[in-house]
Amino acid sequence: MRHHVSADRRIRLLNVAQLVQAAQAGDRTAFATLYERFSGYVYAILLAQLPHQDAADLVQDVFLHALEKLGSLREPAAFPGWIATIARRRAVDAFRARTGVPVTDELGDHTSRDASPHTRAEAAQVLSIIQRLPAAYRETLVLRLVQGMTGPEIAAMTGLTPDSVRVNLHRGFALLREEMGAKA
Amino acid sequence: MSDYLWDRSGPVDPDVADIEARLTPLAFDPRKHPIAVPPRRRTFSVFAVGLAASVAIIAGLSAFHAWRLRWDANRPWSIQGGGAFTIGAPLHVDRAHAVVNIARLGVLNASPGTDLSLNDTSASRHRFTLTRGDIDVRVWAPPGRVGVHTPAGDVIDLGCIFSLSVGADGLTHLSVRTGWVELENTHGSSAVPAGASASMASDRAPQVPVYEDASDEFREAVRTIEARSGDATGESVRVVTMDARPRDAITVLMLSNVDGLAVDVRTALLETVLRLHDSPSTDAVSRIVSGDRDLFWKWFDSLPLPPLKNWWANWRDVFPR
Repeated sequence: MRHHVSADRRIRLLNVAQLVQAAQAGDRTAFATLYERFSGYVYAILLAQLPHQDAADLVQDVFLHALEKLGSLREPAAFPGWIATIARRRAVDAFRARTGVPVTDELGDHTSRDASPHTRAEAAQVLSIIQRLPAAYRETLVLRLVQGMTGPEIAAMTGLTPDSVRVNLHRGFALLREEMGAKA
Repeated sequence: MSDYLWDRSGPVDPDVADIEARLTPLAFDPRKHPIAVPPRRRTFSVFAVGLAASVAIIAGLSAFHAWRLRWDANRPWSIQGGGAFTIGAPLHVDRAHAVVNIARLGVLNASPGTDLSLNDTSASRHRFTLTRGDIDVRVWAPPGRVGVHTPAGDVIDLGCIFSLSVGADGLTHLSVRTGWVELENTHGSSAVPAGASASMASDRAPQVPVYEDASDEFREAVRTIEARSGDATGESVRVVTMDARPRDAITVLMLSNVDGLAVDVRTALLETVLRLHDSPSTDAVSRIVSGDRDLFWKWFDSLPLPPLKNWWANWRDVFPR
C-alpha cells in the first residue's frame, strides 16, 4: 500500500541543508520551515541586545534579508551560523539607531496577551539585567530561559560545543542571580 | 550546576524556574508571527519569454530575408500603380515618374525621359539597362545581386542607395547616398562610397570617387589630373595636395593609381595620402611607386572607410526615405 505524504510534510522531514537547497531552488514552503526552526534562535540573538518589541519586529526583517541573499550561501549546512551573523549585524545596526532611547519599559503588543502589566514589567527588568551581562552569556541565557531550549539543543543550534554551552549557562546564570540579588 | 538548568532533567531548580516564569511573556512563538514570504520572482519566466520572443523575432527576420531574396527566373518586376517590367519589353518613362520594384530587394524611381529594359532576373542575379535618363535606386541585398548596365559600363550595387543618370552622350554619372557602388567597364573599375560621386564614359576608366562636400577647386583639379594624366599640370597637383582633407584620402590614393601619371605626380599624391593617414609601411610611397600593388591595396584597406562587405549593416535601406 502506498502512503501519501503531502509536500508540506515531506518538507518538514528534510534536514537543514536540504531545506536550504530547496529554498534556494525557490521552494517557499522550505523557507517557511527554516523560519519555523530558526526564528527562535534569531529572536534570541536580537533580544540579547534589543528591546523585546524591536527584537520581535526584526525577526522577519532578518529572514526576508536572508531570503534575498540565500542564493549566495554556498554551503547549505552553514545556514545556522550564516543567519546568526545576519541577525547580529542587524541587532548592532538597530542598537546604534536606538541610542538614547530607554529600553526597559518597552514591552508592546508582542508580549503575551495574558501577561499583566506587572508581569511584563518584571520580564523587562530581568531582560535588562541579562542584556548587561557579558556578550558570551547573553544569547545562551535567552535561548534557555526565554525560549526554553535545553543545553544540548542550544549546542546543536549554535554550533558551540556542549561544554561551552554548559559553561556559558553556569557562569551566566550565576551572574544573573547575583545581579538580581543586588538589585533586589 | 543543576541538571534542570542544563536540560530540564532532575528536580526543578526554584531559582531557574522563577526566572523562567518571569521571562515567559517574552517568548517568541513563530506560529504567532508567521512570516509573509514574498512570492517567488518570475525571473526565469521573464527570461524564457524574452528568449522565446528573441528566437521568434530572429526566425521571423530570417524567413522574411529568405523570402525577399527568393525570385523565379525571368519573373517580371511590378510597377507601382499598375503594370509590369518584363524582359524583352523596354520601359520608356514618359511624363510621370515610374516606381519599379526590383524583385523584392528594393525599388527604382525613374524620372520622365528615362529608358529602361530588364535583361536578367532570378534569385541570384538581377540586371537591367539604363539607356538614358535618371533613376534613384534603393536596394538592400548582398553585394552584386543587383546591377545596371549603361552605355558607359556596368554599375554594380554593393548594398546601398544611389542615383544614376545617363546623358544623351552615354556618359554615366553616379552619386551614392549609402553603402558602396562599383563602376566597371573594360578600362577599369572604381568603388564609390556613400557621399561620393563619379562618372564613367565608355572610352576610359571610371573616375575616382570624389566626396560631394569637397571644394569645387579640389574636384576640378582631380578631374583634370584624371583626364590629362600624362600631362597633369603642376597647378592641379598643387591644389589636390594642398586642399585634400583626411576623408579625401581615398580620392587621392585612387588618383595616384591612374594610368600614365608621371612618377613625380604619383609620388606627390602618395605623400599627400601619407600626410592624411598612416601608411602600412615606412617606405610605402617608394614601394608603391615601384609597383607594389599589394601594399597599395593594404593601404586602401587601412583607410577609415565603410567596409564593403557588411551590406546588412545598412538595414535602414529596406525602408523608403
